[in-house]
Formats: sequence, structure tokens, C-alpha cells
Amino acid sequence: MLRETKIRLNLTLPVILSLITAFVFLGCQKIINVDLVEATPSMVIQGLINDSIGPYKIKLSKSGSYFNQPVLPPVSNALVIISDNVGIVDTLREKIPGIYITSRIRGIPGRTYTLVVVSENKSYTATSTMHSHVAIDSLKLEKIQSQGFGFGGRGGKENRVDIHCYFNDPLEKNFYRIKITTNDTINLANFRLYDDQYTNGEYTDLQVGRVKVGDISRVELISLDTSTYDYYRTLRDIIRSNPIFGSTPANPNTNLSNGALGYFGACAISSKTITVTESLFKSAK
Amino acid sequence: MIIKSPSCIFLFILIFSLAVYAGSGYANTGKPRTMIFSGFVRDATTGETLTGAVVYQKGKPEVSVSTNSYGYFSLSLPPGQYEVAVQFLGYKNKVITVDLERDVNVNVDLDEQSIALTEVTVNGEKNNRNVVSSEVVTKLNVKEIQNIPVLFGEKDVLKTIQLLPGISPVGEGNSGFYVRGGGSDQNLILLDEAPVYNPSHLLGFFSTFTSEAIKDVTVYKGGFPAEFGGRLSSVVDIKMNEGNNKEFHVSGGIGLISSRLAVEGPLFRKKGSFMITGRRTYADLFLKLLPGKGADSTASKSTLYFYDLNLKANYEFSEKDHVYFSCYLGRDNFNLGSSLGLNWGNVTATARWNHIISNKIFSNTSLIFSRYSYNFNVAVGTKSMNVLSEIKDFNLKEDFHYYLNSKNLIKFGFNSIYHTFIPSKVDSTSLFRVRPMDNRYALENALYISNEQAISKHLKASYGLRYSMFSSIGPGTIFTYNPVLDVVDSVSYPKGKIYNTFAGIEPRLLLNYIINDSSSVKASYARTRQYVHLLSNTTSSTPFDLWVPSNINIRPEIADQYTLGYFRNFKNNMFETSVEFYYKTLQNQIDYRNGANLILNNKVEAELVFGKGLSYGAEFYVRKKYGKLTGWVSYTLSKTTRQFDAINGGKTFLAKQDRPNNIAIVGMYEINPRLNVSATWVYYTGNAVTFPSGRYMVDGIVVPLYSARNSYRMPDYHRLDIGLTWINKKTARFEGSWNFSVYNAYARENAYAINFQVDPNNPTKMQAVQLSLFRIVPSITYNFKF
Repeated sequence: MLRETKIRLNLTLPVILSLITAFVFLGCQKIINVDLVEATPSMVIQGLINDSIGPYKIKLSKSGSYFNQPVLPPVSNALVIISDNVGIVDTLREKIPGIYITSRIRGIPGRTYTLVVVSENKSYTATSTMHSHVAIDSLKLEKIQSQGFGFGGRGGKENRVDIHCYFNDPLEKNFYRIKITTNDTINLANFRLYDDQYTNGEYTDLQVGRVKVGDISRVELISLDTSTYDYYRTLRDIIRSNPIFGSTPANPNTNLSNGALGYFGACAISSKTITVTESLFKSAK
Repeated sequence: MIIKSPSCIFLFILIFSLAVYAGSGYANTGKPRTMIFSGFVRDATTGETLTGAVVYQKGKPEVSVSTNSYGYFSLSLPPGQYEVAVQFLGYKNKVITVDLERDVNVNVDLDEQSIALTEVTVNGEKNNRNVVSSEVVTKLNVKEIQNIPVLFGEKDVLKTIQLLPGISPVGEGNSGFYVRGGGSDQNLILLDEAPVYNPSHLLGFFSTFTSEAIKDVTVYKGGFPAEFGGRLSSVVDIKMNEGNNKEFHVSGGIGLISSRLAVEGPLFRKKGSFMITGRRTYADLFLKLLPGKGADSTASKSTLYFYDLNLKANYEFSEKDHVYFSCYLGRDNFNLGSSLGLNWGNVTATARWNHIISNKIFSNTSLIFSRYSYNFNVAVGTKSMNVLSEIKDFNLKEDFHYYLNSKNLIKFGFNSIYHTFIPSKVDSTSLFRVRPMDNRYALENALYISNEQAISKHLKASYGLRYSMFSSIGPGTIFTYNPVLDVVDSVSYPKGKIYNTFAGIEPRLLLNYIINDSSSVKASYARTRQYVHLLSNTTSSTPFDLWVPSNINIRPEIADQYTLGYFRNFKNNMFETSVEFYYKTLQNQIDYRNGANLILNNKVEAELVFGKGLSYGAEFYVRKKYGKLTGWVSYTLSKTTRQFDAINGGKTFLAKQDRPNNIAIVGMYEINPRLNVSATWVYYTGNAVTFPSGRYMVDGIVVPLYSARNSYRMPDYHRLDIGLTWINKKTARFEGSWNFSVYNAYARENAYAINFQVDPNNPTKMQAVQLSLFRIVPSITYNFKF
């Protein structure tokens, strides 16, 4: 049998000591110098054709040193051509350095567009097919449901409501990017991407932002093709990547050839604006 | 057992008969009949069986056998009278006189001795197991390592083995580790034979093994015996204490982070014994003390803790039958208010039956259960979602040790594991639309046979074969993908249908050329196959472990490892030294596509890419075993690369496991019997990482430009830990001691991560920000024993 040993352990002492020995292991951050090998500048191409009336822009620039080059140079005097699968060919003209605009091509859902850029004896191409136009059915203000989840501004939940975007998802594979501009400002790094894998063909409700009384918000529902969606998805991963839980970083997946960075895509955009009036806000609360 | 093709059976029978023939052929060389001296070796005060104790004929050390992992030995000798010595590190040698006119069965009890005395008594005795044995292992007794300083003062076997050559930590304070360039999922971590799938708590800062519950740890980095299989890179065999079968004892510790308690004692009139240990952290109790907004604040409703429970009991039915039952249960709990909950942990249970069939044949039958699971729940308003994920094994293992004669020890057996993989079981879909991932079922079988043979006085060999099979069993739906990763076909298999089987031979060979009593050269080759794979593309360990089985889309991982080592002891075995070279190739290694989504993705197999790995290096080790100063120095020089067609343009790149230089120095000094000081210093080259080599703008956002993968290095890592143990009270009945330790004593700011970002104060400027985790972490623990 277990002996009746009196446990005369003075438990108080260790506990007090442990409290005194405070935790000094707080993580710390500091800015350090890192020597980076500088890669040869690469061509960066950005451009979207959409289903509203043009002209559409293609922006050409170069990558530069990570630390030592405050301004990244535009690429001028390039040959930029966009053609579609019905035979329209448009040679873009450089309006301001690095910005090239179309003159006659139109963005029409279902058509496939090909971009060709020739600069410094190198050529880059990409193709993209415009998905069908998906219209926003309505924007509604709703009470904030989540506790800290959801998209949109931080700050007190008390004086804010959520914007929800409703639309009929077509019965086909769809990829969306949602952009919200509130009071003429847009947080470009706040990527909102949506894939209809669980809601294909359904009437869809998405919480897209968070607003307060007096805000005017414009919501754009952008229907993307696979490659552009994949570009934005992998771009988002890099921007949001957390060095502790993140994966090994790599450049975003692009549809551009020959080592160019960036994207070229065709998309269909639908937008709606909502003004957060006192009465709308109150009925949502 | 499911054996698909009859040729496998033939092959196995062939190997078996060859081995027995080889052995018996040796025995039939006209020698007279032999007698058998057998028994168990135990600790005299606790009754714990001792693994790896050496039993040898005095004056003829080559006639020797060591106790197996259950403490059993059997030695065949011609009839006659012998002086047999039994020795084990940390115990007094015992010499017994055996009259072998007939078979003798004796249980030998060894007395423990204090470290200070070790030096004197051991003088003149052989303790050169590391040189003469036909295995390359490192064995650490928990008693030997208890004074090594560690983070938060939590003694931790997994962190201690990271101080051995060829083994390096995954990251700061992490219990995950890489062995000779292998991934952290390529380590077979066994707790009383049960695999532990996620041996870490709190993002890896603690391991699941409470030191009170552990007897010893055996680490195999290469030259694997045929009885082990299923993982490529290492076997970490952890044995739990059996419990004192002579008297009751209570021990425990009170620390800053956690407290431990262990109770052990005899059962059934000393025919058995038990041991129960528990540990719980209480950092969350301090959270509750934080000034919150009343009882309703998130902080007061938040929890963050883990606990471990170990239980073991054994009973000796007869001289020939001994049963053991051991069980482990550990769980982490994390709750943020009432909106977010996450808990994870392992359960293992092992029931073993040791049976001595004859004094030459020892058998062990084990029934093993192992499970790792996590539960994740989110509640928003009235809606909630719960995700459960688990991997679960039922395992039957049968091992026979056939002590054929004094020169041959044949081991054979089989192992049959039924795996259940539940990647995600979703309880509610009201909150988020989530499609659960399909469950997977598989049967992993293995047969093995090996022989440890003393070929001559100078040459020993251990050779064996393992035949492993992995069958996928329905129900299951397997997708086939085209090169652009669209599903081109899906086939559903009914319940119980075996729809895919991988099988292969794993040869194992180890040769030991014994130059003399104190030096030897060992060479080994081992092939290992791994059929279950951990998918994780994060740098630190998370509870969201996703284990996937091999199937049509994931081929088994295969490793071939060659080693060559020189082992030399000095000063009557006071110093052990070794130089080992290894060369290891890895096939079907797994990595991920750019932007891979591994969570709740039923088509996760499409996110994987497969490639090759290579690791080679040299490991230097000097250990001082006795005296006031003990400890070791280890240095590893190595290179580890990976090559994937789909990554880095197909070019070979440095693996994240690559650590060219890795040094560990461990020193323990006994000032007097009541006062011990210790220190460890570690140094390793920073991890190979991917940093940007430029930047560009997209949509007004700064985007880093990456070139070659892992072409940069984190700053080198080094750290000094110091510790002091003071036994302030010691009587026959009670022992109390204080343990003080300082982790990272010179406050080195080791880089845990480096983040490249836009300067928040200047949008045109970029900056690199280094995050360090622990600066100085002092801790204090009070330990007691009565």
C-alpha cells in the first residue's frame, strides 16, 4: 500500500518565484541589412480587356532592384498588338511613357484575345478568353455577423455594417474578383477573390466590405478567366504571405510567355454603388 | 495479412530458409552440443528491465549478447562452468558464476551507481558496446540527459536528440527535426512501439514526451535493422518506464510553464507494476489573471494549454509470459473566446505479450493503436462549423528472436497496419460551404527477417530483408489528372476493394570489422520505403497535419543510404569517438505547386509535385561518458539538395533541410553530489531560403521578384543554454531539487523569419525586418521524489 506520506511541499514559494521570474522571451523585430543579388530587369506587363467600351490600357514597365531603385522605369517604344479570334487586330499606341491604349478592339464575352508585345528584340504573348457577364443583382447593408472575420475596414463594429453583394452565378465555372471603392479610395492590396466551386449556378451572397454612415461605396464584380484568377490568387498569396506560416515564395503564375511578369486578361465587369444613409444604416442594424 | 501475389510468399520463404540455413550451417561445424544461459536483466531497486545490457563471458568479451528491448538475453555456450559478466552504463557490473551442465535461466539485477563513482568502478572493465556491436545507434538514457538545460526548463528527449550529429532542429525551439537531410515526416517516432504522428505541442515548442514517463531513447539514423520500416530517414524508439515493482514512489516537478507528477509502484504482489504520469501547462491560468473587461472578456474565456497522460502497467503471469499495457494521451486546447476553438493531440495504446517459447526463442506480440486528430470549430452568431481530421492506425506486430547459437541471432516477424485517414469531416455547412475530403483506407504489411552473425573474431554482420506492401482499400474515389491538372477520370471503388498495391524489398546490411577492443569500422546499406506522407507547405509546425497515403497519384518514397564509420574509444572507454560518412538518395519526394491549397481540398493530389533528393555528409562525435565532466561534441558537415522538374526550372536546389555546418557541444559538470552545472552550445548554418532579387509594381502594389529557389541563407544560428541543478534535500525517503536554466544565455537575436516589406514610413523605400523569438528565457523548476 501507498505509505501515508505527508506532502509537506511548500507550493507557495515556487509559484511566487515563477511569477517574479517574469517572461523575458518576448519576440523582437529589427530592421536588418540583407545583401541581395540583383536579378536582370524583367518585362512587367499589366492589362485587362473588359466588356465596357474601350479604350483599354496595357502598361509596360521593368522590374528593378529591391532596395536600391526608388523609381521603376516604364518601357517605351514597344510594339503592342491585341487581336481577337474574329480577326480584329489592334496596334496600341503609347499615350504616355509605358502606357499603351487600344483604338478599335472591343471586349465581348466569349471572344479570345491575344496580346503580343515586342520590345528590345524580345517578344511576349498571352491569351485570355472573356467569360460571360455576371450582373450584380443588388447590394445590401446587413448587420455584422462575424467576430473579426469578414472583409473590410477595421475599427469599432458598433458603428459599422457589412455590404453584401447578391448575384446569380451562371451554371458554368466562374471566377471572380470583387473590388470595393469607398469614398473614392481603394485598398488595392485587399484582394477579394471568389471561386464558385461550392455555389455553381446559385443565387450567391457575398460579404464584400464594411462601411459606416455617410460612406459611398462602389462594388465591382469582375468575372475572370482561369489564368487571370490564378494570377491574382498566387499574387495574393505573396502579398499576404506570412514568413512563419507561409510557404516557400515564388512568382505568381502568369499566362505571359518568355519570362514576363504580370498578367493579361479579358474580364467582364458589373458594378453598383450604394450610399450608406442614416435610414439604410438603421434598418440594417 | 493480405499478400497479393504468391511470388511474394515464395520470396519470403526463400529468404527465411536461406537465413536459417546460413545460421544452422554455422552451428553444424562439428561443435559439441551447447547449453543455454538465458534470462532478464533488471534494475535492482525498481525492477525495470534494462535494454542493451551486455552479457558476456568474462575474459572472452567476443562471446557476448545484449539484452533486447524487453531486457531478455539468451547465450549459448558449451557445457561447463563460466564466469559471466553483466554490464550496463550507470550500473555496477555484476559477475555471476554459472554452472552450465544444463540450461540455466537466471534473472540478473543490477545496482545503480552514482555518476561520481562510475569512474572508479568502471576502470578495467569493457564498455565498448559502441565499437563491437553490429549496429549504429545512439542510445540516451533519460537519467543521463536530465541535467541538459532546455527551453522553459522542460526536459525534452526530442530536443536532446537534436544535439546529436546528423540531426538538426526544424527551427528555433522546435521539437521537429531533420535527420541526414530527410523531412520531418520521415522520422518514425515510436512510443512503446506505437507511432506518434505529431510529437509536438504548442506549435512545436514542446514535445509530447514527458521526461518522467520515459526510460530511454534509441536513435537510428542509418543501418536500420530489418524490424523497423515505414519511414525513410530515422527511427526514434522511445520506451516508457515500466514502474517500480518493489515499492511505491511519487515524483514530480513544478515549473513556470507546467507541472508534472508521476506515481509508480508494484501491483499484484510484486508480480507487476504500474506507472502514471501527468503534465499540464498553465500559462492560460495567468491569462485569466489579466485585467479584463469583467468575466465576459475574450481573454478570460480564452484558453491555451496542453496536457499529457502516460500510463503503463505490466504483469508477469509466469517466468515465460509477461504482459505490458501502455497508453499515452495528450492534447492541446486553444480557444479564443467562444468564437474559435482548436484542439489537437495524439492517443496511443500498446498491449504487448512477451512469451518465451523456448530458452532460445523469444516472442513478442503487440497490438497497437495510434491516432492523431484535430478539431477545429468556428461559431458566428448561431451558426457554427466543426471540422474533424484524423489519422488512425490499428497495428498488429509479431516479433521472434531466435538465439540460434552464440554466433547467430535471427530475428523475424511481421507487422500489419490498418490505416484510416480522415482528412476532414465537416459537421455543419451552414456557415461556410465546405466539401469534405474523401476518407482513405489502407493496409500496410511487412515481413522481415534478419540475422546478426559473428562471422569471425573480427567480423560481425547484421543482414536482413524487409518486404513491405501497401494496399489502398475502398471505399474511395481516385481522380486521374491530365498535365494541366484537370480531372480526366474518376473511379470509385466499393468498400473492402483493394484497388492499388505497392510493394517492395528493403535490403538491410551492416558489417562491423573490429580492429581491436577499442576500434572498429562499420559499413552499412539500407533501403527504406515510406507509404504515408505529411503534406505541409508551411515553415513551422502546425496542428493542421494532413497525412496522405500512397495511391495511384502518389508513389511511395524510397531512400537508399550508405554509411561508413570509424569508431574508436580512448582511456578505457571513457571517451567514445566516431567519424561517420553517409550518402543518401531519396526518390519520389513531395513538394507543392505554386499557390498550392492543401486545406480542405479534395483534389489535393493535383497540388503535389514529385522529385528527387540527395544528402551526404560527414559526422564527427566525441563523447565523454564518465567522470565529473561528461558530455559530447558533435559536428556535422553535410549537403542536402532536391531536384523537381516542376520547381526552379528543373534545376537542383538546396533543400530546406540543408545545414552545411552543424555543431553541438554538451557539457555537464558535477561540482559535488548535490550540485551540477551544465551548458549546451549549438551552432548551425542558417536555412536555405528564397529572398527577393528585385521588385516590380502590379496594380500599384509592390511585388517582390523571386529568382532561384533557396539561393539565400538565413543568418547563422547559435545559442548557449546553461543550467544548474541543486539537490537541496536528500534523505532516504525524500529528495528535492531545484533546477535553474537560462535558454539563450547571451541573448543572441537569432532570426526566426525575415520579412521583406515596404517601409511603413516611406512608401518608396523597402526594408527587411528580422523577427527573433526568444532572447533570454530563464526558468526555474522544483523537482521532488519520495
